[in-house]
Amino acid sequence: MRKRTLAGKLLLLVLLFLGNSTLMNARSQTNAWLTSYSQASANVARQYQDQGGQARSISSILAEARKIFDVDFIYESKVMPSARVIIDVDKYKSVEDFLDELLRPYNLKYKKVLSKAYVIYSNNPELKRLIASLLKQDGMSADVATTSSSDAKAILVTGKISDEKGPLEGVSVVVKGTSKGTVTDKEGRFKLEVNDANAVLVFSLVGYQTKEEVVGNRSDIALTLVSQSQGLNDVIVVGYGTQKKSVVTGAISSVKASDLDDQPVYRLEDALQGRTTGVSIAANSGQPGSTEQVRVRGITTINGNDPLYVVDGVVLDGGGLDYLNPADIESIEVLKDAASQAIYGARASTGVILVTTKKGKAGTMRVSYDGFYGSQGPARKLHLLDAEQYATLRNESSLAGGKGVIFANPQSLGKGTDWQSQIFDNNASIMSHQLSISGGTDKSTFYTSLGYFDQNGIVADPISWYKRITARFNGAHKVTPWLNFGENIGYSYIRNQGLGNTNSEFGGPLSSAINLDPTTPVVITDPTILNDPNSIYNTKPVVRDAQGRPYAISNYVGQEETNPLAYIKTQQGNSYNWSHNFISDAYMSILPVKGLELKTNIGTKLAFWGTNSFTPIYYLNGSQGNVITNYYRDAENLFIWDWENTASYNRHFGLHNVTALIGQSAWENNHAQINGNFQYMPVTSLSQATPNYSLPNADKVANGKDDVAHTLSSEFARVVYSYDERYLLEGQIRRDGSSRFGSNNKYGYFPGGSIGWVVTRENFFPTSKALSFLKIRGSYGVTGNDNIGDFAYVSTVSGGRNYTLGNNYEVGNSPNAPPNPDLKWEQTTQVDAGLDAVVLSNISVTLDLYNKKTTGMLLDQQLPLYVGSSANPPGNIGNMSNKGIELELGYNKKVGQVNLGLHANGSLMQNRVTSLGITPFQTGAHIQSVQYELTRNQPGYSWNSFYGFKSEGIFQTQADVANYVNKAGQMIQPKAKPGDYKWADLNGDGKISDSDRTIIGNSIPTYTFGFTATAAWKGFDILIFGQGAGGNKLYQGLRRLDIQTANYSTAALRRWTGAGTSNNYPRLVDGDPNNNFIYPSAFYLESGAYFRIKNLQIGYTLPQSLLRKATLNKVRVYVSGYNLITFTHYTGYDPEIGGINNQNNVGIDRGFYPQARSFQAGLSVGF
Amino acid sequence: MKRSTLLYCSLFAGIVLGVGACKKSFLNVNPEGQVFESNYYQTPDEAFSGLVAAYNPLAWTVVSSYAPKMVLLTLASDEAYAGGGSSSDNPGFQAWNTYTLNSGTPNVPPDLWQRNFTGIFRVNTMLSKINGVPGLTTDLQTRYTAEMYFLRAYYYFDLVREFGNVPLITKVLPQSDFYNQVQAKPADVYAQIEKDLNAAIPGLPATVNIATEGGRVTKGAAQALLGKVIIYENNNGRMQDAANALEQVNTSPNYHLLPNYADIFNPGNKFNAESIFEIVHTNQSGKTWSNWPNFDGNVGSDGRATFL
Repeated sequence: MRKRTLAGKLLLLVLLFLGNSTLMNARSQTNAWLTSYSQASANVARQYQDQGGQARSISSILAEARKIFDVDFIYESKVMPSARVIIDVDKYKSVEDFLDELLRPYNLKYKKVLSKAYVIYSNNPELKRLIASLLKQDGMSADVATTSSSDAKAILVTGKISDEKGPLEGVSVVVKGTSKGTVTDKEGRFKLEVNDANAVLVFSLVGYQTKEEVVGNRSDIALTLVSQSQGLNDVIVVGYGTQKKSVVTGAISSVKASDLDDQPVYRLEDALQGRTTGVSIAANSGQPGSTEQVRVRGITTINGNDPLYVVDGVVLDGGGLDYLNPADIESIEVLKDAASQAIYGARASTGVILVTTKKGKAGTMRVSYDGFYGSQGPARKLHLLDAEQYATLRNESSLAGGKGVIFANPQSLGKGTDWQSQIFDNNASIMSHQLSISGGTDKSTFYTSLGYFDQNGIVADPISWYKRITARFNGAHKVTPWLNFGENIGYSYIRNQGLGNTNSEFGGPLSSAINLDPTTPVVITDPTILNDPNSIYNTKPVVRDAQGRPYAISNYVGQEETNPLAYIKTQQGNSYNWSHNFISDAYMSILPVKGLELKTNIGTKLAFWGTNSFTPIYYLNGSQGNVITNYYRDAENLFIWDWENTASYNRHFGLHNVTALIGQSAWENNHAQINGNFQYMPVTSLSQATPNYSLPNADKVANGKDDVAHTLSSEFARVVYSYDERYLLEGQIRRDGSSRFGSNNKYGYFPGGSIGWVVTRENFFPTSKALSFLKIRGSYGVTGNDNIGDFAYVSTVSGGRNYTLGNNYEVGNSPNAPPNPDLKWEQTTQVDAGLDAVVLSNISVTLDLYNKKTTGMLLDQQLPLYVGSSANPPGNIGNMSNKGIELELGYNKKVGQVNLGLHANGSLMQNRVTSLGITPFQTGAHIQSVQYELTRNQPGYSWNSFYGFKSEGIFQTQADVANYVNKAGQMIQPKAKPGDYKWADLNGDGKISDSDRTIIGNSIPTYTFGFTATAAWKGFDILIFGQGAGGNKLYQGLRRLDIQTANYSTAALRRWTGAGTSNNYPRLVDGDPNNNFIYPSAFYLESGAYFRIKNLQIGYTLPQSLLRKATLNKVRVYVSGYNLITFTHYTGYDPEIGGINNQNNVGIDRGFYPQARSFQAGLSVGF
Repeated sequence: MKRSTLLYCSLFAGIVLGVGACKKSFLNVNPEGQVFESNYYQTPDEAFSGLVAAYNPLAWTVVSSYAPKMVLLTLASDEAYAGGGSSSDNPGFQAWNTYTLNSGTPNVPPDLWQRNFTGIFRVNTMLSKINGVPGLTTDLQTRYTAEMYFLRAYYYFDLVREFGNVPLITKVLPQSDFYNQVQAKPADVYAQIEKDLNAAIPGLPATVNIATEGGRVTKGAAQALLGKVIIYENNNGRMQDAANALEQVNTSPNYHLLPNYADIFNPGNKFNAESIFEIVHTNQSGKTWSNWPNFDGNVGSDGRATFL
């Protein structure tokens, strides 16, 4: 209605126009001043040709549009917002469409006043003024005109604007109080006439703090703009689309390529650790190429907790993410709240990680090289006993156990062998090279890259290494204004070798180095042994070093703990894994009518991987040997395809903005494997082994596996509504059908909704520097986890239920578990409340609170035995809850010539298993000879809590033992001796039994935090990135308990040796009759809290003046220290322990392969 | 342009709809070697394997741990003592020996319970499937059904004697009934046992081929068990019924006492005329200690896994 009345008024004005004889004049006049105005913008328009797709000021866009549509735009410059926007003028079919899109967000209106002229205005008086000024033949009011040749005293001002990184292009420079203005060019330069020396220039650019400068007597102004911390205009990726950060209502963490600038990021997960809230990352091992454990907002389920990865819109299953070269990543978004996740429905409850790879930009072709080379070493080693100390303690333990002395003269043994120094490499190399080329035209853009990454391990590096080659080609093409096409293709080839056990008490170089006695030499040099024809060194196929000396075999420590160098030798060159990954997607989108986009996207992941290994004949010790050569070859392939079809529609109606999306997708995952063992091949190493050898069939054994295909068929829809970017509303729903769901629940619905209110956009809200932006938001949603196994809902038939009839052993088959056709996804509901704010203009704050409840966790139903089934069917039984608080702070400030930045974040989380149905608890991990399980899932406690006995200290005297009595006056531990643990009789039954165990610690961190501090001065920059976690305990299970001769850590020197010597480290005694060590107890639990300086980097960027001569764009050199210092009380190698393969390994240190500390130097060059 | 836009859009919409149309079957994936109960029991061979599985618990001697029925019953008699290394050796056996079984006695009571209810589940499963097996002759169907009735009676006879009040389950329980079964009175259990045996007798063969079917249920076995069951019911008024049933076995030409008593214990003399129903053990299963607890045969006589 309002519009129509305006139109009426306008009509009157136009009639006025028409009645005026100077109409033509007026028009040409308009053209004249517009042209003059446009002069400043002319080079912007020209730049557009090279730089299409980049954000530009609105006036420069209008200047371009003027040419394209052949129309004039008339407006008061002061009403133009300083915002820079990305808009592709070419794609609009009419000037009205174009203006609609461009102006609505800024509450600007437009009117066509002539056949080829439009007035842009914000209110009616302004419109009148403009038209009136058009009517004046000789020009406009000062507000409208931009140049005035009549001013004789005009001063020409030039200048250069830059930020901490270099020249800034596109900075709007306006003379305050007028509409005179220009924009800086590619080199940050501008040229502008002002009336007098008192003129004030206003410099503004989105993302930077606006600055005002009095011209004074300067004719050349050099300025550095400081970037704003809030980043509210950043665009972030959400499921099936993008949103401006200022209007996002979900809880989404985002990491941009710029946050990672030239920092060493070896893997995708590295980019998230310490830089995002609500995401806990723990390395699964320090072995090169090892995966890292990623948990979004705690532990969502007792089953698989890996988040869903979506790369360029293609849903990929977790695992094998190392095909992604981190340098190719443009942004990573973590969808944390259920409303944002709901668009991914049945696979989203453990979090969704959206990865977007880099795309090309129209304009000059950019070539850049980034690389680094570094040296790695262990950050710390364990303190283990030397030979003399070891022999002394072993003697003591043996004597206490009633046996004789083992080492007659410990003093004579000296230091002995330091096995750790034998396996650690203090100078393992790491390097990365990345070459990328990007560019294109306004019709077609591309980004292409080649990368090489090579890392050696710090433990047993001959058998611990990783090499990766990656290639990427991303392209986008505008076939016609309404038809787009594009593709993202990534390829990687990886070859690596792992040392086998990276967190296992059962052997491998690490566990061996920890447990082997220091009295055994590395190699045998004693001629009496070497010359003894009956010695094992002459009778067994022992392993020898390069000089032919046999590696020593310990006389004391055996089983899986072997001479690590001998072990390495058997593996060296005899095993490697390989993989080829092709990840690609292609899309086509059609824009049939304004605002509507139809898109179809087909993505695939095609992966081939396998292992080649050869086991030679060897003898490592009495239990570890191999007498038959075996050549093993494994080949696996995986094929995922994902077809997504969407229709999205976006319209502005006044201040109302609506985006609607509907879509449909189909997804399938297939995996197959085949492998073979070839025995008795007449070769001695992998390089000679080949299946071409003719071997009898009996010596060739093949195995294989076809995984059941996993399919999903889904539909989804989302509506996003905002009013004036002030009131925000979003709703989405997805329906997923999964091959894994039971027949009664084949389809699940996953809705989510969120609301937001930008308080600071209210008229009543005072404009203040103290609080310039405040958005309050809330969301609720339902998501699922379809990681419930294939065909878990049906009753399967198995054999082995045989019976003998007559002389025949007949095969019997019968059903296993009864079917559970109701079986469905695990369901997670989550409430999130949060706020985003900018305070004191340069501090950004994001705060989130959430409460997440998982119901129907898959668990075997405990059927009564009278049901008679041979197995229990899984059911949707267990419940879990996670609550947390997340805080993110950002701060940027320029102090003198120094730009400072600080980004910090912290997350608190609490996890509880709330129900396991009638199952009282689930037992978790075991560690070799410890008598009971180490962890339990028990309702009321955190997932995977440590479970064990409690000690009340150590019996110092026999009297203490005698005085420890139950109610009946009987001794509770009658067999205990002084120096033994006094176990707490928790159930009060007067004796110590397995029912005296209780929850003794939490295995998952309850808080994580991180910060990045940066400072830049001229060309120099320094960055400190730190990160940490805590609130958890670690189980330090490094010493083998079943090998009582295993070496000790130096903590054993503080053992109990007599009354008053110790109240926490019991006596050493062979056989451990009081179970001091084989009972799981707090003895093994240590705080897992740590803080780590993950990266300290100093860089220098060469000044532009030098570079221009060499036609270079950017040259930066840097040195950095990675994993530099770790502050922790933990006594193992590394407090950051994920769960390899089995999530029950979380927090249990069995000899964890520590992460390397490295020092590296890097170079970035851009052309 | 407008026309071609429309063309492409319709094409596009067609594709999207096309995908939607084929999704039902898209979610039904190949089970990759898993056999589903719903697709099983479709051939005479599959029905036979179901029959074998129903016999299988007869031979169980280890369930969660040692629980051989004959050993346990003997321990409760005057013929044997539990023995072992000490009074704590195999506490389940010791408790049988000293009549101190209770709910806390490890493994033995639940093992016996599980063995028999497993058998009953497999019988009930077979009974629910046997009428729909394509290609299975009426004769075999009748015989299998009769064997199932016999086995159910046999398993319940063990349960009612061992536990007294037990849930009486005569069909495969649906999910909704898993947790709501109540204990039946022994009289009801006995009534069901008799009913099953009476239903079994007409369908069973008088004799079986010893070489291929030795150990399968015969008419005589069912009649003998019926007589024994009635005696155990301890109702003086029904002793004639027991006598009538046993009389049929006594007068059968297929059963007589062996002339030489020692022949009963000759391993080469299995399935002799004195033997009415045998639980068959074998050393052919190839099972070793590494198969624990699934010996399928008898842990006491499996050849490899010798015990006692």
